[in-house]
Amino acid sequence: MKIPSWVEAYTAVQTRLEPRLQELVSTPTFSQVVAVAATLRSTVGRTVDGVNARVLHTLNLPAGTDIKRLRRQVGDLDHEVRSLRLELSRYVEEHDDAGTD
Amino acid sequence: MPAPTEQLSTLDRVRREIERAALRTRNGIKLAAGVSKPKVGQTPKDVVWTFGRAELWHYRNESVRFTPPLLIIPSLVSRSYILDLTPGNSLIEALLQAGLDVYMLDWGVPDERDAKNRFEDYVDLAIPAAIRQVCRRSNTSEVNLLGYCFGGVLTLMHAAHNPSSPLRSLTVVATPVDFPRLGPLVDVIGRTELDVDSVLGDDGNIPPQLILQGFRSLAPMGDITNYVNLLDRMWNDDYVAGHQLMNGWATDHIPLPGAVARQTATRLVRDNALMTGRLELGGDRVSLTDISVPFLAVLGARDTIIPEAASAPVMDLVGSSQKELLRMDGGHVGLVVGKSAHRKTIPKLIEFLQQRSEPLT
Repeated sequence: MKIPSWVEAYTAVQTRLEPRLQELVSTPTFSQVVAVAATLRSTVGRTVDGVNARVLHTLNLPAGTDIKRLRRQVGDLDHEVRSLRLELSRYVEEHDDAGTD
Repeated sequence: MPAPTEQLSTLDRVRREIERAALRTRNGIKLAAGVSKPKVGQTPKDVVWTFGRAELWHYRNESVRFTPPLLIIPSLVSRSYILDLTPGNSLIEALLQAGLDVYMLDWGVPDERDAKNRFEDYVDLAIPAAIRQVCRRSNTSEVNLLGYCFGGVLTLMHAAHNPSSPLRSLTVVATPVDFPRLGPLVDVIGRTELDVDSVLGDDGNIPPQLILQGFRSLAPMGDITNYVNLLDRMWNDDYVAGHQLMNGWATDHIPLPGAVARQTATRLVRDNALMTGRLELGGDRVSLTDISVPFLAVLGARDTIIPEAASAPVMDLVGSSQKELLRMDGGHVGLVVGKSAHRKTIPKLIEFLQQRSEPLT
């Protein structure tokens, strides 16, 4: 089957470009840039959230950060309960096995 | 043999191109509208136990011929349906046809309730509980355990930290142990002081989009190449269906619990704890040399996600006296999906599991 010329053209570009891009993403500099960008984005996000929260709290309204905190607290509780449930069921099973033996 | 393209008359070529243009348009509309997506994970199963978002699935099999049952642990960052892709192209289906009794512990989609999940929650709580459930339901005292990708890491940790776990055998498929060798996928963690907390989402987990970006960095032009190939062959229904399946799975990640992400960054990537024997779980020093059950590692020589350099060293780490390495000429997904997997990898996997099982009388 004949390959269309535009596919051939793309393949030619890709063959030359991809190894260079792979080389680029493998460099320590690229990793540093990604890490700095992630940290910067997080810092900016936190700052904006902080300003929003202060404004909303002034009006006695809950902010997104409050909801986030609550969700995490509920999540933590759920995690504790799940772990306890498993520990308990393991204990009951071992206890039952000992009783059977 | 049909006549090669060069020998077609001009009229035939024009006719063929018109037909293909019509098929391209039809398939393009279907793709854009998101209709006719192939159904995945179709093998009949029952949910027999749940643990938070996780579910233990028992696949229905009227002709189980071997015991003990097989428990599969999938990856923590991708969907488990890759192991049960479509009828006729499913690892699960092949295992059932071979007479095995198959369970899978699907992790579900983690949310803020899973942000505190640590390795210990999976390795020392969830997996042992699932094993107990499997033993009880199949009325056995042992299981064969199989981990795929990151699920393999969990099974290694489980077997090493729980030497009394009732395992008949352990199999890991495409499983990394030398994490710094994963290259660009982990370089941003391994080479920098990046605080994992700074990339967590609102739910306290690593967002799936971020995981996807990590995988994309392995093949920077991969997405464009995929779309170019799709555009070129959009007239071919089989190719379009295959693209939908594989592209759908490859971009369908699930959040990674924040606590596991922190442990992965510090212990597995920065400390390379599996290789150096400095892994700590629940306050105990854990070494893979403590694994003594019959062991099989399956890796793909052309796996770009988990390169051989990252997965092969497991053979030197595991303490089992009976251990085998199955090195296949395939990629990450090609180990469990596709014609080559069904012709080469899966039969070997079944052979290993059947040898570690007894026929049911």
